Amino acid sequence: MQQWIEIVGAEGVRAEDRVAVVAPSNDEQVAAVLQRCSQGLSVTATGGGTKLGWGNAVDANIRLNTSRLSGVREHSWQDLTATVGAGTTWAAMQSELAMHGQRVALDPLFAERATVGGVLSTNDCGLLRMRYGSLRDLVIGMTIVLADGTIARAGGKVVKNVAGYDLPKLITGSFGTLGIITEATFRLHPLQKNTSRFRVRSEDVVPLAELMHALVTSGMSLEAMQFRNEADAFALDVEFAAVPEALAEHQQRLRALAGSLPVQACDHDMYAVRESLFAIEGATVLKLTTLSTKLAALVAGFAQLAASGITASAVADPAGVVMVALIAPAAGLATIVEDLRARLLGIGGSVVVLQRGALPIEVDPWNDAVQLPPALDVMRAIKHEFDPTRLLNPGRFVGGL
Amino acid sequence: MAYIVMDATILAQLKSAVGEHGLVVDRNQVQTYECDGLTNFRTTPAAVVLPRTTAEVQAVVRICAEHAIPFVARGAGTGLSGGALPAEGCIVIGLARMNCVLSVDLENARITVEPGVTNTQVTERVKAAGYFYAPDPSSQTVCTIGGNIAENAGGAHCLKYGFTVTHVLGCEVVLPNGEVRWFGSEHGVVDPPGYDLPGVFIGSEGTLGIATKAVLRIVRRPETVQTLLAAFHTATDAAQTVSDIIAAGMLPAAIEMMDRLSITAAEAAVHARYPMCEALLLVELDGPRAEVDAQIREVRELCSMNNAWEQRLAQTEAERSLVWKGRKAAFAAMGRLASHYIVQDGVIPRTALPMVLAKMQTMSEETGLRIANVFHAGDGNLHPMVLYDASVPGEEDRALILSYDILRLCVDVGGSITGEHGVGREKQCVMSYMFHEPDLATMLRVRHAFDPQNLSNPEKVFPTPRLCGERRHGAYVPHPAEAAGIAEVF
Amino acid sequence: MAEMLVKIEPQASVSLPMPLLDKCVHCGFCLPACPTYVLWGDEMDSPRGRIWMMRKSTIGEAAADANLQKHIDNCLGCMSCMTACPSGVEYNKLIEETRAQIEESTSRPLPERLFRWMLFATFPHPQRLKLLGVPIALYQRSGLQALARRIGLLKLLPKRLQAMEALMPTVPLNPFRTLMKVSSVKTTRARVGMLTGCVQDAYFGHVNAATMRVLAAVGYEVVVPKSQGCCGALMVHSGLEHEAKAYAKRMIAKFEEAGVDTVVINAAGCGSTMKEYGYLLRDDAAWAARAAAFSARCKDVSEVLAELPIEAALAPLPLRVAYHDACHLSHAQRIHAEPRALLAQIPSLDVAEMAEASLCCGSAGVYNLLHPETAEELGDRKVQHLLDTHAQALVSANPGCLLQLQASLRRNGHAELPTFHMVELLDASLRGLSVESLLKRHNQGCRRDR
Repeated sequence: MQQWIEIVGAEGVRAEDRVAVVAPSNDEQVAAVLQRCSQGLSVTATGGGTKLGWGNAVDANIRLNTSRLSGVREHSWQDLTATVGAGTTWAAMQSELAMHGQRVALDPLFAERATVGGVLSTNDCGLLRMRYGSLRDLVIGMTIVLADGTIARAGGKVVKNVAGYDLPKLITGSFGTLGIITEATFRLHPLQKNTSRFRVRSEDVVPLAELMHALVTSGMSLEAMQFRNEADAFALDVEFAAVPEALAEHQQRLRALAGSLPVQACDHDMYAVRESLFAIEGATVLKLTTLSTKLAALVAGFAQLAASGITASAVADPAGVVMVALIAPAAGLATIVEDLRARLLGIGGSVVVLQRGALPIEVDPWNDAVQLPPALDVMRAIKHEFDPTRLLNPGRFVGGL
Repeated sequence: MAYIVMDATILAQLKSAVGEHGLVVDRNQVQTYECDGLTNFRTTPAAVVLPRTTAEVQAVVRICAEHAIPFVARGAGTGLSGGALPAEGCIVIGLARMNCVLSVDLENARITVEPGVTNTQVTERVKAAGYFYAPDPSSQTVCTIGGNIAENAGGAHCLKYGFTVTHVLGCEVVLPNGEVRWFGSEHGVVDPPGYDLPGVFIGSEGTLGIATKAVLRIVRRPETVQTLLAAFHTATDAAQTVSDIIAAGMLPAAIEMMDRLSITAAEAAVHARYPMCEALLLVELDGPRAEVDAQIREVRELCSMNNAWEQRLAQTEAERSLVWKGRKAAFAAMGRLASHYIVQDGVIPRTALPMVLAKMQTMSEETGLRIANVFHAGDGNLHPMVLYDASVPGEEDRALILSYDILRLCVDVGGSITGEHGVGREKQCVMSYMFHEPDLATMLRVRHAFDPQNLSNPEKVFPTPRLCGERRHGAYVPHPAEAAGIAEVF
Repeated sequence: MAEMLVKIEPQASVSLPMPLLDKCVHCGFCLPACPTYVLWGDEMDSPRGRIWMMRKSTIGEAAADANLQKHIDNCLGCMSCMTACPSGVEYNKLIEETRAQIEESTSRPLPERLFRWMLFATFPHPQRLKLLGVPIALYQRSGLQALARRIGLLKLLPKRLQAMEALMPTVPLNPFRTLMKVSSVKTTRARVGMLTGCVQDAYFGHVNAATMRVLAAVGYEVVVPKSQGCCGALMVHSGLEHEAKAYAKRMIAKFEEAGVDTVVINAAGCGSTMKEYGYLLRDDAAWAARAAAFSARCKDVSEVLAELPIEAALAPLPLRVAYHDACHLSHAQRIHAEPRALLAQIPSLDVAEMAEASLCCGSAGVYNLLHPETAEELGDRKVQHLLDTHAQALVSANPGCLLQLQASLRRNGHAELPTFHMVELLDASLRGLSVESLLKRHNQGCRRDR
């Protein structure tokens, strides 16, 4: 413990489950901690700890906590950019940016607790992706500390920049295996002033799936949309964001496109649905990716599981991601996951376990035994260059990266 | 004059890889590949191969890997940073013959193409179905998807729609060791587990391998498009208008600015009937009709508030395309005003625009070299064009120095040395002004992971002692591999 | 890697004016416009690459060798690159100058020389073409052509002769009929002189006749100077500058004698050449001014007709046609809108645009005879785009294109698709002909082809 206190001070060190939790307060301290680890201590970076269960479990020697690397460090509101410490919670960042009517146009899970660094590392995107792109399209700069203590700045502070390799994209979604993110710069979007939300329900999946496709290709100002199953029907939540004149027209067009399906005002928080899946007692939560044309069929398939006594709550976003919470006996869960993986393999889809629930421990969160990434050798070579002695989150990511 | 001739056994191997008609070695012929859109730097390659399939590309790269011969991939050779400039004794791999659209999946808004397909051909292919391919570099009628991927090409409309990297869901890549791998998703599915290899590969300027197929996202054509031309007496007024538009919460499809010199050149080339003024703004809004109508009214008010003396809305599709044709021809049209010019590609925070423009004016007066300006004002991407006459001794060098000074100015105000043209050969020595040694060393780790032999487009992007002399920032820290003698500094 | 350094000794070279070369900024906008680049995807067969080779030779860094000659020869001279060029490169001047210098400084193999000699001994001579027409007409009408094509006899011929055979139009039985002077019933407009051309005169007499009727119908007085000879286009495009100049002088003199305000031309290739006489004879003190004045009076028939609204009644022609831009009209003369505007005046006529509209069909003067494989590829491509439009007929404004496209249609099994010169449709509409009677002539020719 003493060696960590020397670097970050006593207030930055504590023990948790017999593991040292070290919280540096600047880049140099992060570098010093990592250099000290080079004797062979493995490190997991943690922020709010909301997604530590994602991927393979890692029994790291120390936890590098980013909570002291927090705060919005620069908000160039006229240039629509902001630089934020990695330990800042997503919600804290957004409320500060909102003072100038701006935001990072992304709605990750657990925003109250999840930190910028954690959201970036897990590439957690929400519904806004359809309109604003995913995290990789919004992060324009980053500071990372490599395993050997190198402090590297990548990208820049302007929205358009192709100087050198785009390391921020490489690091985004790398599950803390390539370096520790200490700071990130985002491009911002204005907060929407005028929005309207609707929910369309249908017992039959087909008309609702057709409506979803019609909306995607309608050219209307869609802010977000999700397709999900309810107890005895399917529902499509739609949010428009536009000038008031357009909103009025969009509502009419939505009703016209929906035909006989009932269009109601959306009386629930559509952005909270994904998060609620994780709160279901004992639920196994999966993230599935597929082509957008296959989304509705997947959700319908989950709805049919009810007949076999399995509860499945699925939410699909038109970009091609389905999140599903399953309550079922362990054996049944394993079969479902296996079956889904087999079906999605042929079209390049994937099934990743985010929350294990009752799913047997033998079921790999990434499916490494059956399907490895096609360029895993390249990924391994990158890992080797960045972290040759495998100190950073060893084995957490797909393919044992 | 001397040039390098390749060993006969290697030539024989190359010939069996790509066939007699795919191999070019005659001096007169290979010389046509000695530069791309940037002619200030030229190197004659040892050979040019023109493969037709991934397997042929792979065979050539394997030969290169085996004999440690550098290779440089090339699309249409329209790049403005010398990205496709051959390396000494290298093989140029021209991909223009791989120009098939392989499949179109309108339901999922995906299209799979070979790298030699031009940017415009992608849009042409899906236009009738109501889609378009969003990245639109000015050379879009010519430049290829392969080149767009190498450079992470942008264009006027990336303000709203994003860059090439946003629109490539996967690509097949021939790695520098000759292996073929898919980066991202072959099927166009999002979020494949693993590192974001397309994210780092796209924009790597051909230094990490060669894309031989790409799955692209296509975008639904907006319901309506409105294009407004507004003429201003000063660049400051125009720049303020841009800031006001953004501050009002609007995200136009494009906001472009042109100065008097650029307008003159573009007019001469395509007769777009631009108003002749000090600063011309071209604002394009697209989306649902009701929204665009409301926003264009707001934009017009903001233009008036900032003293626009003429505002003109393109009335027809023909007028609109003429307005854009003029804008997109502006670089090349500069050939009508000056015998030579260098196009630069700096990026600045939008708010620094008036200050940077004033400084450039001073620099122009000090050096006696004219600077024309065309830029993507919405995202602060400047394209200053330094005009010069190569027949005047020393003028080319002075023009190059001035263009680098402009880039340093961009870095000084918190910007970047390149927004879409890439670093290439041209800007590699300014890289160390923007990045510190550890930043560059970290990028080189990626390079080393992909290409330990340093064969794929060597001597590009990163500063080298040979080409750039002493580095500016801090002490030079060798990469471990380099220190161990595995890799040479490049 | 074993390397060796090779010293290049300067050999024969071409020398072009640097200001013309410097206009090219190497942007590459010409690449997709160039037919050979579109086909082959190599830099040497693009305008940018050719200009680079010219530059290299001019500054002494490369020889004007057989490879340079090959790529210069490969150029169709369609001038599509000039339309695409934002910086205003005068490629026509560069390529013609290079060709002239190459012809002077290098020699071609004997068979090549003979073939070229044969072309230049026939095509620029309307009378010789007409003489040839008699045996050709007999060959076509006797069933011999059909037989030869059916049994594959022609495959025994060298490719270039095969190409000649394939390109032969259905020759009128009496190619020697001469045009009468046609005057308008009510002359309300200027007096114009008409160029009869070589191929046009010999094989497309009906187009000349239609042109005269249309001009007269809208109010022009039309005269046709006798013994006009050839405009020299083939010579200019092949680097035979001396011959070209001689033809030009004769042409200028003939039309000066006729005393016309305007010279009307219905063959795009001729028009673009005659509009450049001023440049061709710029260094000839005695002729420079006369040539410039003459060039200024030359106009394509579509320019003349589009100048004023057609007042005569135009009958409906319910037909879907695809309009093919002749390169020497759209690129060399920048005449793009006029023929479309004229066709748009014909009631019920539906005009479709083809994909790759600016790409050459492969005709390009005698290019389809000198480079038959390339020309066939381009022709096939055009036919595919034509079929994609679902048009019932093809319309163009140049005899060379029409011959090339007819041959391409035959080769692709679509001999039934008729081709017309733009003025033929105007003529039919002005005369109130029905679609059926318009198609009749084509069908007669078509039956003989089977």
